[in-house]
Amino acid sequence: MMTRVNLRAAAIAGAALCIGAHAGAAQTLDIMKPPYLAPDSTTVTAVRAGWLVDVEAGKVLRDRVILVRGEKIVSVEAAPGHIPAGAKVIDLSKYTVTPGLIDCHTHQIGAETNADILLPLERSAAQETLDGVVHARRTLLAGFTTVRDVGTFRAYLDIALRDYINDGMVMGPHMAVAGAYITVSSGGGEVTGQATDVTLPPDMRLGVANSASEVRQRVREILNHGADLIKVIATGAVLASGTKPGVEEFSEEEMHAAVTEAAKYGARVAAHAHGTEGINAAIRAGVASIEHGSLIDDESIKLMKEHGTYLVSDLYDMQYISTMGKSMGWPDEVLKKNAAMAELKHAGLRKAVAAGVKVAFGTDASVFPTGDNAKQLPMYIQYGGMTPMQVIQSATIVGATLIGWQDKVGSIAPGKFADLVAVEGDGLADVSKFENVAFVMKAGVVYRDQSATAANHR
Amino acid sequence: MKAGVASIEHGSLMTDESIRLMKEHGTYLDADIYNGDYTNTIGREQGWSAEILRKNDETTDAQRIGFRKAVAAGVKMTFGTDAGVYPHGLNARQLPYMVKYGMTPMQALQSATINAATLIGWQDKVGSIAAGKSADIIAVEGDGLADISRYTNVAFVMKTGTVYKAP
Repeated sequence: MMTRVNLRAAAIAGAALCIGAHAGAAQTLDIMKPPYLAPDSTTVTAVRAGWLVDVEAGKVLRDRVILVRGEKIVSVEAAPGHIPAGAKVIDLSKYTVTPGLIDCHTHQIGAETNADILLPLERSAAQETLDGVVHARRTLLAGFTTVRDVGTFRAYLDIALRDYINDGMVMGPHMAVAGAYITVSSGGGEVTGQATDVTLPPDMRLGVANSASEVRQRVREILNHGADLIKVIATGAVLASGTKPGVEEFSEEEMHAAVTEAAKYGARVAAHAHGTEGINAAIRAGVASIEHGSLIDDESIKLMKEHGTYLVSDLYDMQYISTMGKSMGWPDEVLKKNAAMAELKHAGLRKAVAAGVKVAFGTDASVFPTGDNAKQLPMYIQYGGMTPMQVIQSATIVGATLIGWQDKVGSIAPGKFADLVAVEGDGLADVSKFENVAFVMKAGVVYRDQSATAANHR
Repeated sequence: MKAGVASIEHGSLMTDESIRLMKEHGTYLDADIYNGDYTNTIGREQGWSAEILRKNDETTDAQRIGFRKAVAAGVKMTFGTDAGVYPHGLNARQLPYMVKYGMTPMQALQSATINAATLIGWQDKVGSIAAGKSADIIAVEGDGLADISRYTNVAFVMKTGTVYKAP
């Protein structure tokens, strides 16, 4: 067997390998550079924004110039501003420019959910990863320049995808990843539905823990392998067999173990929680966010306010299942559960918003086709009672702060990544415009430009 | 070859008997005659094991001598490089080697197109510019056959009608 060179290492170290004229030398061809690397700091771009959504101040500013150097924003000025000679100018003066959107609850790895809950067992790790490559591209082109990716059945594939994106080899958003699910055995984070005597492959069960000390062990393993956050499955799940969404699967003590162990690494815990007891136990245990939060009650809201816990409420996936579920072959029982839970979730979100709970935008893509994430933006207005500004804040600065990346992403401010999205006209007048954004920049690279003036942006 | 395989990969230490058998059985030779130089250079720089470097030395020249003989004898030759041993994307560096070791530029290009297609069994789909085949086309500037090394950095790539690289 021949020794193989590492593809990534070879391409990135290509320049270092370059040793001139020798026949065996590896001069780097242009095609061997990572295709999605941010430009260096000699590249200056000026983006003219007709409307600029200042999510930190909660204001819309007219006619601004955003100056981008390399991968970062350097200034935001009133037009015409000071555009250096030689800068590329992107004219979005008839567009609303917002920070790149953030989805705090995605699953990039793996095939999109369908009625076959055994799907993960029908697919190899390679297929699951390649699905991740497809989803990451679509997510970015849909305007979501950052995601908090909250788990994969096959452990650590998300870490590989994140690293390939960061190295510029694969197109996708900035990713904060969970590595695996911390779940009780046969609980809401397990692959379910197989016969009782079928053994799952070990990489599907790396996060299984059944005591506080096992939880600590798993948290350490997952963070040592490079995950950014921890995902704990506090209660049963909906789209799984056997587990009951209302049942608290981890105790408060066990979740507290996860929170304190993760804190040693500077990492936060996201808790999947549907049932009230599980939600409230997770909040008391100190998790950073409640994911789903289907059955939050007044006590949950009081506790969230007290502990500063975020709510990540996925509404569009449930609407998608109720619309598409029949044709996708979901059993009536699941559809009924889904419909009942959707109504409760809407009511809970509305109460939470009214009470001033921090709500971060999260969708549970790919329960629905990845790329449709923004279809949930209008739902936060319709069902959650948010203002359009609150919705955009939820999907930008609030999400960034939940991830702990508020210094890097989430607003259009000097020093942050040049992550920008634009829609035509006054975007806040109709947030459904974000379902098909005209322009996407991530870390200074333009990935999509369907603006009317695109032809001049060269 | 006696067992009837379609191709011999590497074929580093082939003999006259091997060449006779290839002719007799219609076996393709897929000889990776570039990467020995790469391994010799980078391997020494990066401190690959002495054993690997020695075996590389033992096979590199022997393989090229065999390659020259096989070309002269009219063995069916295909193009294969063992990419991954050296960085992917530098594959075409082997074309000038094939000319240096006995092929005409046309033979080198045939080995990397229609011969390879026929070895795979895809001669109806790829391997030549012909009606009905997949629109897989590349281009280099000027008279490509006058300097086969131009293919180490092609100007144009189309695959199934989609342009992936253009000047």
